[in-house]
Amino acid sequence: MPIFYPTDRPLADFKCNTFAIIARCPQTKRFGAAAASKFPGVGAFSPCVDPEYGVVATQGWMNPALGPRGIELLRQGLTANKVLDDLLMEDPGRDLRQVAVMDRFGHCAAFTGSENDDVKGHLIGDQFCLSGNLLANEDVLPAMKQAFEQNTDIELAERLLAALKAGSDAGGDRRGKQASVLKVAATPGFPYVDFRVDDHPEPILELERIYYSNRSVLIEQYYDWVDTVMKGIPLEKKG
Amino acid sequence: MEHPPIHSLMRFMKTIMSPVHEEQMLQLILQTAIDSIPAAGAGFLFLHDPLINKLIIQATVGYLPAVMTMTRLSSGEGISGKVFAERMPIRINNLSELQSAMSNMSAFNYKYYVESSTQGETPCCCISVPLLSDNRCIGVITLDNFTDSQALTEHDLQTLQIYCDLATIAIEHHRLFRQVQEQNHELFLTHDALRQEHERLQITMDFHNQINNLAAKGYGTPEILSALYRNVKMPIAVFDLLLTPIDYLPAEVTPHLPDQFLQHPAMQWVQRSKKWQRIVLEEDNSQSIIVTPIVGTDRLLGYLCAWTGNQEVMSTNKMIFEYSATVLALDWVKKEAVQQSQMRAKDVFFESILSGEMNMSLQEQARVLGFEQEDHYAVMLMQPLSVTARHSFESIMSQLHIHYLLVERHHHTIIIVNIAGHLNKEERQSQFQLLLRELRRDRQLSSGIGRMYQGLDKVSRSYKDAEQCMQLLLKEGNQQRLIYFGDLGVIRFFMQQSREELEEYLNDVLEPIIQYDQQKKANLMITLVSFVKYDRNLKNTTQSLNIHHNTLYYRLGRIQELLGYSFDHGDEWFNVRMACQIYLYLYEE
Repeated sequence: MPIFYPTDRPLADFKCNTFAIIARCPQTKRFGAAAASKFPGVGAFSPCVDPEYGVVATQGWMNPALGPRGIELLRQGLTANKVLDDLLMEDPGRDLRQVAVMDRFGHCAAFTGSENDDVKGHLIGDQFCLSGNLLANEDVLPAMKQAFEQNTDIELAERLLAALKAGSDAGGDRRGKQASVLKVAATPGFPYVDFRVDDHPEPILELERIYYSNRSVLIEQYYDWVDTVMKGIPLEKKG
Repeated sequence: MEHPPIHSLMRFMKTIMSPVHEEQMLQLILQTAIDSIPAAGAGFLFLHDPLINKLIIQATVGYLPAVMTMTRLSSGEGISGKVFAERMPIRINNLSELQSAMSNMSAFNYKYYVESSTQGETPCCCISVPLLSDNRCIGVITLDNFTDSQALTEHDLQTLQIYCDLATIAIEHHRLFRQVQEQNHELFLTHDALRQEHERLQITMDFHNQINNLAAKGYGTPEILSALYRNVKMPIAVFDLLLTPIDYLPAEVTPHLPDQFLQHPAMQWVQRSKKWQRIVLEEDNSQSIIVTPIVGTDRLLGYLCAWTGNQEVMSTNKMIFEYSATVLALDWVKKEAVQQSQMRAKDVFFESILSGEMNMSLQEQARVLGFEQEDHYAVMLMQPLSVTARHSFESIMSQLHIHYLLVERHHHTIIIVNIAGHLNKEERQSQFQLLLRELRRDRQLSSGIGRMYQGLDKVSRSYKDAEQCMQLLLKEGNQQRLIYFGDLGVIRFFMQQSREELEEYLNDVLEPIIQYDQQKKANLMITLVSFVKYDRNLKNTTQSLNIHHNTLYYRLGRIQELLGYSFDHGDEWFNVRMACQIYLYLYEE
């Protein structure tokens, strides 16, 4: 017998307007990304993170196919600029999109289509790129940038979370809060940091809670787990 | 301390310096160490994995490798783990000490150890030495003896230490070498990416400079298109808003757009967003057209199209197209502005000319525009010209080599036709008649044309003539498309009189007939007008009115009776004719 949950929400318009960050850790060379939106399950659509070749984040009037296609192009050794150009060349709705690409070198290229809603834009920094549209104000991206650049001595995932929180505190998505995603890739085929909050009144705080609650299990034992899987042996329980 | 035999060391050195893969090298190191220490029958070479912080077996002798590779020792775990943690070599010579050292091994690791041993469950003695490099322990070599608890001596331990030091150098060297190789590979990729980016940037910059130079020298669409074609090497074309080709390259390939292309959804998007689109052709999906809109300050001016075919479109091309479209737009807007400015100047000049007042300044302006005082001029008035009608008119004037000035007004087009002053009267008339003939032949043009006068100061007179012709053209029921003032005959004089004046004359001459028609519902006026129109020809008149000739005789008699005129009397007949012409002029519709 199915359970029907009542809802008073209006229909989503598939404007996956988001504020997002893609980045690479200069020390570990890991790629990661984080995003938040007043759109349910934003993490199902973007970002796409490859442990060896880079990141593609797409938002605005979302075309989720751009993510996997972008990764495919990055794996061919193309630079972020070239990948972005090729993606836009292939997408007739390019002006509706917002796309950020990072290549294996940590270089970023970004595009904010003219049909996206204001406040919109992107910021490219040293091995990171911020992008957002339908933002509450002009301060969201600079706040994210400052938070990301300040926290250089912590894990990439935590820096991404800090940036996301700063963006949200500065106003975030002007429609409100609903979903968030945090991804860091380490080994091909083995998810490392891959957390999503699909529907929550405080998605970023919830994402942060999930990350820190499960860090000891999923993050700290990650390589141990990968090694045992590769060797075909069970992972011994700690302690 | 006793040293290992020199030949043994030499063999070991040769081993570790041999160009082999790391796995082989590690196996060789362990095998050589065991071979150099006769009492050692089995052993492991562990390396520390910093990612999982565990010792992983990289080489084994005397154990089943497949099982042993599953062993992952934590720091302090078992004998090798203890050596790793304490960074001190150890030699264990009795079973209980051995078992005690192995007692803290995890269940899995102990199980793998036991299952992999081929010589017994536990050895009788062992020696274990850390691989120390730069105050770091990178691994451990442990050698076992399964037969004699006193077999492995202090000397063997020292020998193993020497081998371990050499092995550490070899391992670190190998790691550094691999690191350098990886860095070289990364450098190669970086260099390659940099080169590609540089090439893309260089192409764009080169093109940018080429176009800038063209724009600076005042070159226009053909030169811009030519520069673009040299760079992209694919068929390109510039179209106006209605997709009429303006220019294209290569010259031998006429641009072809699909039917109803303007209605294509992607084209609609281009028009709406004023952004480029790549449109894959339905009839051949290996072909596509890149359409880049040419946008002025606030409006679409035209399209720049490129046929890409199967080849990959370089992203630089996209930027080049966008830049070309921008420069084309600037060129077009500039030309438009110049044209508008010229139009304004012509407008001012035209207004001055129409005022009929000539002065030195106006004559100078006229000379700049190619009009001389001794030339002859005629004014033509037309309804606002459509694009095709204007094109047709320009073509006629070009064929006849007639110089003219065209001014667009919101309700009509005014043209001053200039016939050169050096022609004699016959040549002048001939050229003007030829012009009238060509204009009459063209079914798109409707015009009122004034007479030709000499001198710019007479242009206003020709303009008045043309205005009167236009009035006649616009009268309801008028079937003519072109009226030349010189062909108007007596109507010219009618046009100079007021309507009241003409009606008064009409009444003075024809009122009895008009009243008779009204009272009796008769057709005497129509009969008389037809009689005049057919120049008193009875046969033609009866045919046109579709009446019997007796009826015509009767009616003509009645008309003469009512008017009191005789049609045979010259002056009276002239009055009647004149009145009928006025009647036709006033009431023809």
